[in-house]
Amino acid sequence: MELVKNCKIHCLSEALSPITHMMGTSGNEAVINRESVVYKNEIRQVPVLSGNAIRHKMIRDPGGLYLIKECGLVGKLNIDQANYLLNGGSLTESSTTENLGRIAEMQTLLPLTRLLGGSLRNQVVGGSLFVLRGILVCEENRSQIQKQIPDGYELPDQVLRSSEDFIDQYQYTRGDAQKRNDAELILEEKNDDMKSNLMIYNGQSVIPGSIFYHGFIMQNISPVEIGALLHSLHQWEANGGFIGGQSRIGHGKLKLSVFFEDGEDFMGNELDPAECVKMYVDHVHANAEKIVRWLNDTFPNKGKKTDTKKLAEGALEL
Amino acid sequence: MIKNWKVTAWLSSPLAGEPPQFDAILGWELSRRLGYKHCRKLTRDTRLSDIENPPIPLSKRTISGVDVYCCSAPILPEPKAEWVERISKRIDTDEIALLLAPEFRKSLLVASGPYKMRYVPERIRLIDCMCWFVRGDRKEINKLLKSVHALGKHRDIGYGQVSEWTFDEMDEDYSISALRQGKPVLMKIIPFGSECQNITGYKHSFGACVMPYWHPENYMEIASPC
Repeated sequence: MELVKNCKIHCLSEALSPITHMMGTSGNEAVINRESVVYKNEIRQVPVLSGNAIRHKMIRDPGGLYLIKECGLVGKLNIDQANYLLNGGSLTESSTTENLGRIAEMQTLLPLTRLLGGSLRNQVVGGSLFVLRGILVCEENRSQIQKQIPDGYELPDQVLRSSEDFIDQYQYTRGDAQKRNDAELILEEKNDDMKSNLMIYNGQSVIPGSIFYHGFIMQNISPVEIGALLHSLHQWEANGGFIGGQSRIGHGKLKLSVFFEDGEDFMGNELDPAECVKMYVDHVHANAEKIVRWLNDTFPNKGKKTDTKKLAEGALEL
Repeated sequence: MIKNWKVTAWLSSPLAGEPPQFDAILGWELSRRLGYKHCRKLTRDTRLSDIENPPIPLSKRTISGVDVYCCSAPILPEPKAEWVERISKRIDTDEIALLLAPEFRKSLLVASGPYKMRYVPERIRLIDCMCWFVRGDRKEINKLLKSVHALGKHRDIGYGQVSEWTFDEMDEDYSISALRQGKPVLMKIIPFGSECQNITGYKHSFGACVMPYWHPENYMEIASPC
């Protein structure tokens, strides 16, 4: 396998709609995810996109769905296979041996899972991707961003806006069929005594136009794995580029800009990101059958099978 | 050249979990580079006598019959803030329902078992650096540390990011013990034995004092700095 030393990808994501990446509720108001930051010897709570969310939403989920589609596995997976491709799998069996052959096969066939790691039924396999958290570009985070951006790049000298300037509120109403003007027409029976489900709900959001800095560090990887990462990012963007909650009503849309650092192979040749993506797509097409075979060998169907004929009959009755 | 150093890791994101031992960091990185991790995966069931320890560029000292590396336990400043972060994981059942073969579309237990949803608490500390006192070869140590981008738990999701490694030369070797008000204070986990009689600042415990620290075969009576 052709190896690249290490590779760092820097990203700037601009919010195109309110970002509601939540951490819980305060009373009946949803509060956005924040972390403590030291600013002028004071602790400030600054909004942040968790690495966990970025890793899942931008890489594993779109990448896993692409593999399922390209390998013709839609409607053919078992629960362990789906869990492995979309959630990283779970350790469900104990074992005193490590099947290195199976791990090697996985790393050859599935560059995406070599990158992300995951759990086979009886062994955990580490990945080579480090996802940086999405930190808001604001005055409080200036020193943190300056430490992480590539050499030769600097933030503007002017004072950036405070993180509180980027936080806003939203409010929506959940309707109640009984309160509609045409309720009497559409409902069989209108019950005025019933408690109303009409509800106002609100919360905090990061305003459109805010920018988050984040990135990816990959260690000892091959160009095809860089291709897997970039291809997943493309897929995520193509599917709308949403992160956080409330995406059903348009929240959480990001516009991603990518900067490639240290993209060289061991011979010092610069890597072309588009070529890496093409290599990955070609790799998946060429190995689709082998990937399916590996998944079936590693996550075989277990337990008593359901009578599919009966199930189909049941579905028809419904 | 072998000298005494204070090695500092400057962090650009908060630290999750406990800070690592210095010899463990070097051992991890070197075994990765030498391909040890690829030819054999080290688990709790692997016998340590069957594997070779990577030759990390630190001095060794024999204490109570055990060879320990000359590197202190990690030293952390008082955290500027400390909180509990929740790491969540769940199967997106609405997403996978139609991806599954019809015979597997059945009710799924998510409260326990292999598909259990997780919302695991993790201790997070906001610190800007951590340091170790070591005795070793700076050039070789630096070569290894250049590839260490993050420390602690949950490095894969952005915790414990290292922005810079710095070295300060020290006159004295503080890797095992240091003098405080004329009395030697323990700086590193060592085997509990006669050497502990003259040292203060430790607690008697049971655990490992050499890498891999998590391996049960390394467990023994230890003196741990506190």
